[in-house]
Amino acid sequence: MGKMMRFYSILGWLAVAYMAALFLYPLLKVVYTSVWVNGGFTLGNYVKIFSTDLYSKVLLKTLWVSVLSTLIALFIGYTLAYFIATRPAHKQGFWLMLIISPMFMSLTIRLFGWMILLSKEGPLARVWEGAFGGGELSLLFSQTAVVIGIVHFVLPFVVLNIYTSLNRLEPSLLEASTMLGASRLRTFWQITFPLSLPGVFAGSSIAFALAASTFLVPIMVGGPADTLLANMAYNSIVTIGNLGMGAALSFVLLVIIVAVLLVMGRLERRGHIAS
Amino acid sequence: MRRSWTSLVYLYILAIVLFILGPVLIIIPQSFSGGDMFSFPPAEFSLAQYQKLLQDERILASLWLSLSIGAASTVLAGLIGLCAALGIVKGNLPAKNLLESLFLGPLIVPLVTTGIGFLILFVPLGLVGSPLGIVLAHTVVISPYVVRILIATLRHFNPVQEEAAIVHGANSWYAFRTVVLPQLLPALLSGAILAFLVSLDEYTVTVFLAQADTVTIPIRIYQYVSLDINPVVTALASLTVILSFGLIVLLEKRFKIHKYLEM
Repeated sequence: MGKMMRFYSILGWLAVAYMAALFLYPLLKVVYTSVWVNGGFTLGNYVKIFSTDLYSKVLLKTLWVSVLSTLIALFIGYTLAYFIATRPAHKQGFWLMLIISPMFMSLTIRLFGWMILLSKEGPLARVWEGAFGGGELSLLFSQTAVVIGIVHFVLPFVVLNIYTSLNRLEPSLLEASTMLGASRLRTFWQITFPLSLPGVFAGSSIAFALAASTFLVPIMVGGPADTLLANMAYNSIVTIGNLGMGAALSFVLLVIIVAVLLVMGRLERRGHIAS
Repeated sequence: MRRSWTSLVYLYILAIVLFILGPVLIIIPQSFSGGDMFSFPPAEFSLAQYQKLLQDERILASLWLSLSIGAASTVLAGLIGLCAALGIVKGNLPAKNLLESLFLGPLIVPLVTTGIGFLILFVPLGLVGSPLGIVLAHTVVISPYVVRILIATLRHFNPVQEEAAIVHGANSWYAFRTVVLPQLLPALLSGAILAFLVSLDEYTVTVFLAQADTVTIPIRIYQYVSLDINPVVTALASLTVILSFGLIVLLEKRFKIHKYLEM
């Protein structure tokens, strides 16, 4: 079998070389650019990010928007996944397809749809006007619109993850619980929910990572004051021309996301062991 | 009591489904309005935007560019993904967990960070603004989708058949081509379709590398929607939505695509 294994190892090394040159090396370049300014090493960019209002406010706003969107997506996603998982087996495919179908559509186009829905003359504003008269409802170009856009974008990922862990559940456990006299609510809280936690953690990791690094949502449905960290990194480079600062901002974003993923991954594994 | 609870649940689910599909479906009626992009319901019915779409050279050029970039980067990402997955599952590479993270890393690293990395790498190479630069960047961003599905498939693979081929005198390449590859094809194809779609829609990395004559379709859509408002984009968007729904039904029927989407 050595011959086959050597053949596969060579192929593997080719892929490693490609990713090292075009993924790892550029990432190291980003770190290098962020600390090597005007021919000398400095942590000035990072100090500025955490000490200047201009940057730290955007950093906090990015965290707040990501956590809020993740929590909303978790609530909606869990109820939806639970609903699908409790349908008859042959209907679950249809429901899943319905829920994840937007994943196959361009994000620019989905956000364009939200621009139509949320605009001042859009259907939501019309309904609002019809129901409450007066008081104009204008959600577009606000932080609310950004959160709506992010939740819409990450929801299918959350549903898929939670659905998978709900689907793995041993039906006999639930039967045993009800047969021993537990109410449906008690069965849910003491059996179903704890066993679905790995899916919840996996779903929230993805939701948070996608939310925190979102670039397109704020520039399409957010206002000028709603730029997040990713946009600020872009603006620093393209508008202001400060490559080092853009690199530093994007690296801070990377570190935050990796840290959250590591914590969530640990929680997820603990959940797996428990179940 | 039970009855009203059930109908409440269905009402809630209906609201969520509307939330999920509303923004996508609203685009279709909007594309038949005379040109007012944001006012609903449309005041008139016309096909004007569809006619203009066929004459809009900037959109057509972007579309062609994106399809070519998508095709080239998907083929390349398919090859890299195949090599990576085979190396990880069947080769004897050291530190396999670490290398697997390297291959799946582009899913975790924020796209802005990846984009800035490519910008820094490509400026001295003169690759900013060239289609080749965008293709190389896309291969990195989309290859994890291929790697992930191939690793999962290969782990369920029975090595006895390959051994049999080798024992009967086949060389490595022949055994791979006639025994392993055919069985990997469905997974490779689903991964490639997913990767192609991601490439077509890639905005964040591309925007660092695109220049006036390499404006890909998502960047063009953004321009038409947010900067120089041009209602022709409604026709393009609604065609995309309809095509996507067709594609989803097909992919789900043939490949059960939802199984491959979890991260």
